[in-house]
Formats: sequence, structure tokens, C-alpha cells
Amino acid sequence: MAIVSMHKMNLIAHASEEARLMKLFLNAGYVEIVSKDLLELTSYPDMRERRSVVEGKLLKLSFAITFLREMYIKQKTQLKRDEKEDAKNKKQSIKSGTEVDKTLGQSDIQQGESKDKAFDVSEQGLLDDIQEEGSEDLDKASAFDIKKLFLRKKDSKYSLPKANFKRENKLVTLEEYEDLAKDEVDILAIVSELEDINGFLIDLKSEQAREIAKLEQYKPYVDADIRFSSVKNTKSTVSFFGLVPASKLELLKEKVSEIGVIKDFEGKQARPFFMMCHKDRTEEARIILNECEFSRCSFTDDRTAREVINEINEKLECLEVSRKQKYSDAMNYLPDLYKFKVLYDNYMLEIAKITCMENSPGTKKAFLMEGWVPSEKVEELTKLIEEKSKRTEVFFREPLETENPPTLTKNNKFADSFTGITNGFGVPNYRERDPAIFVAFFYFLIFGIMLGDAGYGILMALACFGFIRVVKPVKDSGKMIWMFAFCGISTIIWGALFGSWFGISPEKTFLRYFTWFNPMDRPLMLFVVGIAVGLLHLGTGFILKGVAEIKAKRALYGIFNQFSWAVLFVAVFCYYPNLMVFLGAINPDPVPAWYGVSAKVGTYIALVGVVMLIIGGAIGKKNPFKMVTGALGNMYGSINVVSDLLSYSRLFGLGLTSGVIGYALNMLGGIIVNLIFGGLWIGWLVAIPILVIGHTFNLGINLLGAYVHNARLHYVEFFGRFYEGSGRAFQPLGYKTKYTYLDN
Amino acid sequence: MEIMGVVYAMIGIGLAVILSGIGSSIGVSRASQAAAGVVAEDPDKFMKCLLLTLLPATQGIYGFIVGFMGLIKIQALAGFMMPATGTYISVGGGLGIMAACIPIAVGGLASAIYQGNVAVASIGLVAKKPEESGKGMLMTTMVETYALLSFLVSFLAVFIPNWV
Repeated sequence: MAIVSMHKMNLIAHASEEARLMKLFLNAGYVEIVSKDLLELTSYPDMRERRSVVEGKLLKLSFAITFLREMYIKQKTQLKRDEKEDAKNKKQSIKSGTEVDKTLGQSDIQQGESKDKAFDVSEQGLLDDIQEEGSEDLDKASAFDIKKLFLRKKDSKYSLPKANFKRENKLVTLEEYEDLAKDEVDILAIVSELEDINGFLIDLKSEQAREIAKLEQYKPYVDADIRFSSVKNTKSTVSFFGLVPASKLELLKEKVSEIGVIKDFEGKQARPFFMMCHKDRTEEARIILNECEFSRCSFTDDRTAREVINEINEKLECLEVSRKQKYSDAMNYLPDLYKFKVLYDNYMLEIAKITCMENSPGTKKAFLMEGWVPSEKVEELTKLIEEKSKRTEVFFREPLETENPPTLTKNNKFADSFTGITNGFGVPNYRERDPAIFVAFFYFLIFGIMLGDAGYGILMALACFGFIRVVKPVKDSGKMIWMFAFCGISTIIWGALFGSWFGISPEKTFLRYFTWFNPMDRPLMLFVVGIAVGLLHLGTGFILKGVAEIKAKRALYGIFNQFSWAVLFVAVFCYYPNLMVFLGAINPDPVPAWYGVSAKVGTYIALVGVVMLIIGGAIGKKNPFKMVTGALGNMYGSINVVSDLLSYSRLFGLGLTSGVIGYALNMLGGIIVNLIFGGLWIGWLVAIPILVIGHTFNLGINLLGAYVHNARLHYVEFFGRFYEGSGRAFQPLGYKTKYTYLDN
Repeated sequence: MEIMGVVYAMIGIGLAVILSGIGSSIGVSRASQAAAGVVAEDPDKFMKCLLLTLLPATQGIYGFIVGFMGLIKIQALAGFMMPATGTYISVGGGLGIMAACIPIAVGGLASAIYQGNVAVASIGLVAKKPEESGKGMLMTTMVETYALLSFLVSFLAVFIPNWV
């Protein structure tokens, strides 16, 4: 149990064995290769070129996956928009009856012009289909409407096949990786096609931006129905065509009327105008125009602005169509997604192999390799190597004192599912005790108190076990789910003890027999229970540290400095009955006599504890002055312990939170049903959604609170007592994959 | 004038809910803004950011619980009629409930804002080193301790006495 003992593996092999050995290690899945020091006449192989090739391919594949994902999201929103628009059109067409079919082409063009978002060819196609369906449906009774709604959902035009861009919950064998790698040329060619699409879309975007910018420039002239080319000077006249700010137009008109003629057109802020005057008065005209902040029109097209704008709009529509086309083109590559993923991981493994080889010095003919293997697998591995790789010599030995082997923990299912909590703080050192079982027990215990509602617990447990049942997470990917499933069970237990089922206390059902006390009625009891759990938790921490000290041959130090706290905690427990009466958590009448006796016993035990602490502070110091300060320091440390203990009042806070909010929600539901709707069933229609949403929120926020605060109690209060977490996790070859799991 | 007791109590209850709510809103909004930035860069970090974002939300809940308990104590659901005396709560009682609400009101306000600041920093940590998000969460809960202590005192002060 706990931390698996390791053996150091040393091997020397012929260079030709490299690939075979790597494959063997990958399949075994319990070999971690580490860097070996150089020996005489050896050198690390230069793998930079091979590495950069593989990394290039990895980059390509990761581009393909992210690009596909991006396209998938865009296409999905596009389809949704199309569907809405079509539904709207369909409604309109149904209203106007069968004529629509005939006038379809026309109306589309009109609509295309009137709307900002233009129609495109593919959409028209869709529209036709839908309308055919629609007219058929119209013949049938409208009672089928609901059925149609369901059918619509399944309509393949608007739905994309499901695609998983995350890690596949699937084990892939080494052979499958290798088989796929044989097609790598084809797959990489597909990636290049995707790259082309991407390039096309980028060009399209910049073209679109260019056209839009152009559109903006022409827009002010939209109502000026003059061809730009027609603005010309004649022998004796000068023409000006351009824009003035709307506020200056009147002024301009007034002034120009003295020297020539002017025609203005409609516009928003900037008003287009055309003016003409005699050549001799050009200078005058210029001055007037400058005064009025005239900006000259620079276009020379042989068309009016409206024509130009229409053309640009058409072009934009075309671009839009080809953009959408490219989106749906990209979707054709969705079936290749799985291949990309597997090939990606194939190269991840390749990189892992290369890293191994880079760490293994060799000569031209042979190479040396060093690594860690769990002791229990040594025999198996030796046999395997003998069988499969003849020109390899392998040796195993125990780790040296100076070496720092990686940590592989092995626990039962329950403790193992909580390792995420421990690892969040730090992996245990190879020579440290694995705290997994204690962490699991206390995390389980505390989580239930913090969430404290059996209903929520049932939901959690059902959801988690259901997920495990249906999805069957491979390898270690389901650890967290298992943890929450266990936490759900803990929540059920504590929730039943607290008599809280979705915030309802079971007063009349059989469930009331499980109830110990209701925190809403007796919150102090919850406080006392929380502190008691804290005493247990901290006490365990102190004892674990003490045991570690004894193992490290510092028995006296361990006993007097660590166990003394445990003794003091026992004393506090002896005081507990009196303390509970004093705080008002329980009100026995009369107070039983053994409460006082227990307190007296507690006093003696506490005295022992204090004496032990004083001795502990003085141990190992020769200077009497230092002995006194050491003892005082230990006494002062009790402030820390007390504040840590008070930290467990969060059990009280969080435990109450979920209960009170649940209760308040139920009360709100009751008010809605009974007071507002007078107990009518309509009241439930309103109340149930509110209750469901409210309880979901309550569960969510308290789940988060319990998860985080429970972890904090472990990291700060519990681990602070004894645990270092300075280890390095065991990372066997082939453990690093991104989109699949290596089957080994 | 006998309703003044209820007025005082309601002021206290209001303070507990409003001030801690303000604190939580500020804290959560700061954290959310930071989280939105991180998620814009990398949508996969959404869950980690969300957890951090929600941490300063608890103060508002503590304030609500104290307020709710206060409402029950002044018999808000039974027309404010105290069962012991058959009248409104006394002025002394009202002032007492008001005073009892102060710790979570002020403590919740300040701690939620500062917890929000830590959450923002931790979201920055998630952006750079997503694997260390647990430590960011841990640091954020450090601030919460003091909100919890305020809540403890307020809750007990509202709950334990037999207000008349």
C-alpha cells in the first residue's frame, strides 16, 4: 500500500535494439527513463533534427484540430441563424399562401436588398426545400405541430454531426497508433487542404474589409444621382463636386448663389452637392468652399454612387456566400478528426521516445539507459526484455540513499480517488508517508458536513455513479468523478443526520429516525461538532508527524512535541460535555454527574499535556536560557493551534448556508403556492421552476464552497502539521498523450 | 411608536444583506472581468476561472442568512407579533438585532472586496500556470476566513438571545 517501492534500471543495448526497446517500454507502461550521466567515450545522441520534424508535424495537426473546432463552432451558429431566418420566411410564406412558390425568385431578390444580411445561393436552396415541406405539412392538421417541432430538431440540414474536440475517452493500442502513422502522408495532405481553406478565409476577410471600407467612402454620395465622370470643367465654367457638413450647407448655398449655381442632395452629416461657376471666379469659389469645409470628391467612376454601392453589396454577398461555402467545406473534414487526434498522440509518443534517447548516452554501436521501475514489475520486465530484445543486458538495483526516486502511489479505490486533493498540494516524497488514506477519510467526513443535505447528496451520487456507469472513464480520468461520488454518499449520511432533505425536515416520515439534530434549530451543536472534527483532524496530523519523528530516530522530540498536542486534544474532548452545556449546545436537566468527572479527568490529562509540551520545548537544548525560551515558544504555539481549530468553524458556516438557503427557497415556494395562488395547482407551475433553479444554484455554490474549503482545511490546517509534498510524480513512458489514452 | 423596534431590526437586517451583497458584487465583478479576459485567450480555462470567480460570492450569502435569521427572529412571517408578548419587538430588542447584524455587514463588505482582489490575482495565475489553480484557490480562501468569523459572531448574536 501507499508508496510503491522503486528499482533503478540500468541497461546496455545494441543500437539496433532502440526501436524494439522503446516499443516494449511503451507497451509495458511502467518504465520511466531518466537522464544518465555520460560515461567515458560516450555522448548523447543528436536528435534535434528528428525532434524538429516531429514537432513540425505536431504543430500542423494541432492547427488542424483547433481550426476544425473553430469552423465547427462558426458553422453551428451559422446554421442556427439560417434555421431561424428560414423559419421566419416560412411563416411569411404560409401567410401569403401558395403564390410564394411562383414569386419566390423575385421576393428573394427584394428581401436580399432590403435586409442588411444578404441571402445566398445555398440558403435559397434550403428555402425551396423547406417551403416544399411546409406546403405539404400545411395539408395535414395543425395538431402535428408538436411532432413537427421534434422532427425539425433532427433535420439534418441544421444539425451537425457531434464532434468531440476534447480528449477521447478511449484506449488506443500502440499498434493502432502505428497503423495510422503509416497513412501519415495522406493525413498531412488533408491538413494542407485545411490550411488552404484557412488561407482562403483570411484572404476573404481582408477583401471583405476592403470592400466595406470602400462602401463607407461611397455611402455619403448615395443620393447624388450624378455619374462621377460627368463632373467636368468646360471652356468657361468650373465644376465642383463634393461634400460639406450639413450645418454649413445653408451658408454655402447663400454664398454660392452670388457667383454660380449649386445643387445639393440628401445626406446625413455630410451633404453632397454640385456647383458650377464661371472660370474667372474660380478663386472666389475656392475661398468660399474652403470656408465651408468642403471636401472634394475623388471618384471618377462612370456610374452613380448608388450603382457603385449596389455593385459592392453584390460583391459582399458573393463573398458571404463563399465564406459560408468554406465553412461547410471544412465540415467535410470532421470524420478525419479522430485520425488527427490519434496521429497527434502518435507524435506525442514519438517526442517522448526522442526525449528518452536524448537522455541515453551511447557510442555508435551501443547505448546506455537508466530508469525507474516499480520493484514488483522487475521480474516481468526482465523476462520481457530477454524475450523480445536479445542484444540487451539489463540490471536492477535498489535506490541509493542519495537518489530521489519518483513517487507512484497505490491505494484502494476509495483512497485513490482522493489523490487529486493531495497532489494539488504536492506529490508525497518517495521516503515520506503517503497521506492518501487520511486525506480520503477526512475529506469524505468534512465534505458531508459542509454540504449537509441528503437530497443534494443523492443528486451528486446519482449523477456521478451514472456518469461512471455510462461513460466508463478509462485509466485515471474518472478519479475526480469517483471522489465526488463518494462525497455524495457522505453528504447523504450527514444530510440524513441533520434531517435535511432538499431543505425539508422529514417530520412525519420514517426518515426522521435518522435525524440526530437540525442545525437550523441547534446551530451551536453544529459548531461544536465542527470543532470536534477539527480536533480529530489536527490531532491526526500531530500524531502522523510524531510517528514520522520516531521513525526518523528522534523519538523524544516526536513524543513531547507532537504527541503532547494529541494528549491536550484528548483533554479537550474530556471537557466537551461541560463545554457543550456551557455554550448551550445541549441543555440536559439535571446535568449528569459524569460531566463533572470527565472534566476533572480532562484537567489532569491537560496538565500532562502541558508538561509534555514544556519538556518538548526544552529537549535538545543545553543552554538553560534556551530551554526556557523553547518551552515558552511551544506554549506560544498553542495560539496557532487554537486559531487553526477555530478555522473549523467554517464547517458550521458552510453547513448552515446550504440548509438555510434551501429552507428559504422552500418557504418562498410555499408562499407562492399558498399565499399568492391560494393553493391552486397553477401555483405549483410557477413555484416548481423557481424551486428547481434555486436549488440548483444552492447546490452549485455550496458544492464549490465545500470543495474549496475542504481542500483548504487539508492544505493549511492538516498538511501544515506534518506533510511536505516535495516528491516527483512517476511519469512512465507513454503517459503523456493529449487526445487519447495509450492502452498499456 | 412601538413599531420602532421592528424598524431598528429591519435596518440591521437590511445592512447585513445590502452591505455584504455590495461587497460580493464588487468582488465577483472584479474577478469576472479578469476571468473574461483569460477566457477570451483560452476558452478551456473557463471552469478554473469560474471557480475563482464565485469565491467572493459567499459573503453575500452569509449576509443573507443573517438577515433571514433576523426576519425569523422578529416574526416577519407572523405579522411581526412576538409570541411571548403579543406585540412588536421592543426597541431594545430591535437595536440588539441591528447591532448583531453589524459584524457580517462590515466584515462581509470589506472581505468580499479584498477577496475579489485576490481572486483577480489568482486568475492571472491561472492564465500563466493553469496547473497551479489549486494554490490560487487556497490563497483566495484565506481571506474568506474573516468573513466566516464575522458570520459566526453575527449569526450567533442574532440566533441565541431570546429577543422580545
